[in-house]
Amino acid sequence: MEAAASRFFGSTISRDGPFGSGSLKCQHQHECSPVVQCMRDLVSSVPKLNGSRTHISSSESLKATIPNKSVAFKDYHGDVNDYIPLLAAAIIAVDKNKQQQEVSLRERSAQMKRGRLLENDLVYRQRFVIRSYEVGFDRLASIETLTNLFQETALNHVGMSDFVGDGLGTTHAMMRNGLIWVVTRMHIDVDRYPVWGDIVEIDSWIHGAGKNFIRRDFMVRDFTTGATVCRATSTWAMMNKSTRRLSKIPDDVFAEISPYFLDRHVMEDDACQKIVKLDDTAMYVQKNLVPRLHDMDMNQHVNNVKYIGWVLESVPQALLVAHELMSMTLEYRRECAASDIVTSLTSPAPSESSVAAMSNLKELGPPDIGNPVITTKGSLHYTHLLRMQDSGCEILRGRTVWRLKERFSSSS
Amino acid sequence: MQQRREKSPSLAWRGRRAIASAIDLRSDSAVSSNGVAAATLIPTPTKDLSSGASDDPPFGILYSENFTIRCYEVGTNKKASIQTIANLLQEVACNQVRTLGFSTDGFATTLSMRKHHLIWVTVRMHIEMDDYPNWGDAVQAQTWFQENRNGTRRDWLLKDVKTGLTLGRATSTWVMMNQETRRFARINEEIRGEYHQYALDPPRFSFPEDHATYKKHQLAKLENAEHHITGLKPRRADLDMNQHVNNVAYIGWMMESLPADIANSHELRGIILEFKQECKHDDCVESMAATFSPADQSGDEEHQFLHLLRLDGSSREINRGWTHWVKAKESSQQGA
Repeated sequence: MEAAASRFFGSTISRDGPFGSGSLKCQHQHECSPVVQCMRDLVSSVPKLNGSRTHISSSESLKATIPNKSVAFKDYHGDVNDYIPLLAAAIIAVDKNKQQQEVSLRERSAQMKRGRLLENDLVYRQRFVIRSYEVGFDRLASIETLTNLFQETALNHVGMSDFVGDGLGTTHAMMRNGLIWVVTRMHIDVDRYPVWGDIVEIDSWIHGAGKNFIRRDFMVRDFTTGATVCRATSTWAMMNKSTRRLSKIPDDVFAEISPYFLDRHVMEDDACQKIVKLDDTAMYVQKNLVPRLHDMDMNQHVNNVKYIGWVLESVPQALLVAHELMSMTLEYRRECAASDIVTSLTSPAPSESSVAAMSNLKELGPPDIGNPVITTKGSLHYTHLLRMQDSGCEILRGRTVWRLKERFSSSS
Repeated sequence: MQQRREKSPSLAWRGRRAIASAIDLRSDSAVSSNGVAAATLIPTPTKDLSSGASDDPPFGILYSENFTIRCYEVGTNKKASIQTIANLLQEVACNQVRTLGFSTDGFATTLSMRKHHLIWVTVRMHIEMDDYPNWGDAVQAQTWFQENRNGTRRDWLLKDVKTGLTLGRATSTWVMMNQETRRFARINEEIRGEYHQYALDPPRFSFPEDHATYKKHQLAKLENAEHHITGLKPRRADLDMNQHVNNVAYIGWMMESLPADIANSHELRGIILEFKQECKHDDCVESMAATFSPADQSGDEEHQFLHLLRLDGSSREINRGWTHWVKAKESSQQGA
């Protein structure tokens, strides 16, 4: 991976961010002053000097008097008037060269916002720097941050392919059929959360899953250490734009996208345990969650990632000091409009019968860094439900597994 | 040799300066030691700013970083939201102080500040945007700080990398507060000595016209507001590293009380926030807004509002604000 990075960035193995323009060092190396080099080039190419017609031969003789590498420029003993116009031309040429480089640097920076395609153009890889506002109170990047980066990676991947470019990854055949992609399931396994300033590298690819679904997998690594940060897989189906109903993948659409399939699975499919639908007997309930103005994405829907935030709103906050989210499974059922009010329910998963998991953490109040709540050394399992407050219609079901954070699990 | 120099000293000197500036314009590119996105020192075009010398200040005082706007940072108009802009301003400021060696716990403290339990807090923030970047645009955010009467003033300049045009400017005022007593503190020489050398001197202001009169720009407190919304609670994602509500969340709350048709059809040109009180995660906030109409208000093209955020059910102010909206040029509301 380091070798690949060095190939990408040229001779500098860059530890910088993917789009800091300082990470691209100027490629030209001059043994002598660029101005002298330019002057030599000019002299050899410009047939006219000092307003008089000269032929190549006289310019060659002039070239002979221009100092070569071994003679310092300041030791040149020729006439001042000879080299003033050359100097001027050289300065202009160097300036133009620099400007061109600046333009190409900018263009390259603009291109570098996107990652690159690997492995027969099937895998897309992009790097991101974790920003300060993307980390939570425990200095770790939140799961929403990771999911946002997945979204950006996926959209940039399809942006590199010849799709419609509407920001949704619609192919031409899909547009003809009036179909759009919709996510039906998302599963994330986190090994280690990144912190502010970490650089993560995300690989993403798609593969088929039966006739009606495709899967997009993500593999996230810490760019500096190469360690796995997290792995995720998402399941996508087609939905008719107008009727909002799921549809089969038509043959022409399948023909368009199947060349992009890579038969590799980032994780084994878990046995797909059914997620229980919670009702009002759920242990923790958070009501009156509404989409805010800036929760709407460019397609005027509530962004998928916001649902994760709502799911976690009803998790007892006291848990968050000492525990971190190890894995999360979400099954999307219905979308939410800007005017809906949402209720979020959480309950300890019924299959885990450990006493600690059943304890009610509601009374413990907000997370207190000085007083972490640790009920068990093992993992905690919760089931979640998001539903419309008025109608009770289900929006999504979820399952989360929590484990003790590293610094708490090692003690005692 | 002597003779040649005497013949045309000014020409040779000018020639050398021209060569020097042509070559060195892109020299300093810094790489932070811990692999963070590189900071690039780019000389500020002096025509954008009021005063200040034309020579470049030493490294670290002017800090600049490029950001690409990500898909989830744009709003319904496919342009970056003001919250995204505010987040990027915060990020570039945090990265500058981290490069300078201040603390990285989010408080940006120096050694003697920590000794006295002091942290920086912002009391005022003013952002003006001429244009917003789109998804995928690269934005260069440049920041620096300079000393103020009781603290510092941090300024930003936002430019589009591809076109070089200025997208927006921002300024903020910072004072020191004692972390335990939550009271503002005076800055003594010992503390000042630790950051003073990184302050830009002579100062340059993003809003030169604002500088002379900013003290007089105290926003009025609203009593009766035509737009009103209550029940705003901080979410988990609104809490920053210090477990207080992040400054950017206040921007969202301020705008929640505005009617949706204004927010959707207009672009936010300018915003001023005056922070009065901090907000904890279990507080409930009420947001009020009233139209602020100067004499030359005309129709639906422009709107100005005064805002107030306060704790639900009490008169304790959290924030005062002012927003300036201008009708968006193309009404591109595409359905999905």
